Amino acid sequence: MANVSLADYQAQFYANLLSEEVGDEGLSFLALMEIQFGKASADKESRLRLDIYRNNVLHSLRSALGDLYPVVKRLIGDNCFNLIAVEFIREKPPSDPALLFYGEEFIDYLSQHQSVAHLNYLPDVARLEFAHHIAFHSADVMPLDIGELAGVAPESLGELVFEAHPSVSLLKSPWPVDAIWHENIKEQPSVLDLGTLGAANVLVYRLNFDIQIVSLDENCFNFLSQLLNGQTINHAWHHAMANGKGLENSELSPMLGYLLNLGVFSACEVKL
Amino acid sequence: MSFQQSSLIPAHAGVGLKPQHFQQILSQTAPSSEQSVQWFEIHAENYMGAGGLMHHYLEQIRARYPLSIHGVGLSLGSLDLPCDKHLKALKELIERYQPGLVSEHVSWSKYHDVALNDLLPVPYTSESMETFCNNIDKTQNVLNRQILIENPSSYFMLKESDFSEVEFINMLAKRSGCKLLLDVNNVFVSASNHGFDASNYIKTVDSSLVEEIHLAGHSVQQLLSGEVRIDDHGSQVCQQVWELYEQTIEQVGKKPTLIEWDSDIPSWQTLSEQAQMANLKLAGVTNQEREQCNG
Repeated sequence: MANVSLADYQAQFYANLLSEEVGDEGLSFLALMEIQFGKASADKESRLRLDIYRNNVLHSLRSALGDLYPVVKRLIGDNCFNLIAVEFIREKPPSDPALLFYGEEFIDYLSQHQSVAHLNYLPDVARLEFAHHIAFHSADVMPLDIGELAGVAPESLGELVFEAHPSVSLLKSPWPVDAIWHENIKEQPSVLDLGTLGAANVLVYRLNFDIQIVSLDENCFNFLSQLLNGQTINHAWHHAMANGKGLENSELSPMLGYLLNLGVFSACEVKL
Repeated sequence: MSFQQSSLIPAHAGVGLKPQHFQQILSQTAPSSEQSVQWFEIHAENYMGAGGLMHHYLEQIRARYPLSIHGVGLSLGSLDLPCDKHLKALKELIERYQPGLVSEHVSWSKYHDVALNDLLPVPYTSESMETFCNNIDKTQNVLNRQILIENPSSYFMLKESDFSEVEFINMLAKRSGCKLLLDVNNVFVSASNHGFDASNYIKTVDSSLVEEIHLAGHSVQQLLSGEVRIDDHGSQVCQQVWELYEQTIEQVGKKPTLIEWDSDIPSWQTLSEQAQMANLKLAGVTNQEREQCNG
């Protein structure tokens, strides 16, 4: 008998690794195995041996998603999380062998999953956890030294643009996702009243090695969003004024000072 | 970056580096030859993020200890050549940390664009040999260094093959110009699962090719045929594997020996004791001729 080609072997193995079950189409793969039993038991034995690989693959990927989304997992319980995770893995397995780059698409998958549709806040909690993950692994870049601004001519200040620190993410949610997150990383979380806590405008970034989850007021959040998009201070402020609520011009200086002190920018320059 | 600490991996025990132990390792007084753990190994893929705490600790540990980088993602047994992006990330990690050894596996884990995150067995055929040779060749060229390849553990054997596993790895290392990372636990696990003689396997390994040894614990599951051993790196090295290790080092000489413990991570104390056990076995080796450092 000729050897199975490597292409055929790997195609068959792959087809039987992530499938829901090993059906009749898997029989030709099972028949490749050397099993030292009678024919009747050989089929069952070879399935059990293939199952070890099937379980390893799903278990390791499911664990990676569970490590990335611990609060989501806690909120919906291990069983529910694992079921959704396995469906997701089958539909969208990783392409990068470094699993720290896997799992962003899980957020959309979760948002469309019927079994958790009643938990409207869940996808935003997942977004917060993903932002936390990005911040954890982002490049080590020193935040902007505010002293650098001293060299900028006062008339040019409005034309300053900033570079976002690589760890920064912004997240706007109608739900108090920061409060939900903080409560659910505790050993014994309390019940939160989502109605009274309201919406969240959250900034996630890393300062040295500590992940910061900062709740911003809506005006400040809008202003920072514009700055992080590369808009000048003037443009960002006008945008914040036009779209904000009760924002006064006198607030520009303290708000900018507050944001600069947070350490969410890594560089600045005057836009010519 | 350059490190004062040499890259050379000594022929003593090292352990797989786990975040749970970062602070404990760094709180120890300066490394000395008295310590049971003399070097560390990391899984390359866990450090492919750009920065943060993982690199912060790894840099400090590398400043004090030699390091080995063990990849699990190149998929050297896939028909496609190793992915350029992944090789580049590996090369950057190597340049950053200057490891004494770089290793990968005799397995495949990627099917076209899908990463399966497991070390899957290959048929030991001439076609697989060609495939591995091409992939190792590309890897060694891009990394501009020799790598080691590790024998896998496996849960089934294929009916058709041109070589036994040990013939395959010996020939592959010679043909591709790489060296061997001999995982003694994997030999034991596969021998139990497939009914071959582990001791004979070790005897057949070309000793001149072995540059590193892995030891780990495994678990046992019941199948129809009886027991199947699962290479889960979640417990102490078992007695039979220690005995096989003694045979191995008597044959290949003293070699850097890694204790792998990747699930149910134990206390630093327990892990150190496993390393100390390996050091005791290394100290008892009577075959001194092959003793050497790697780097």
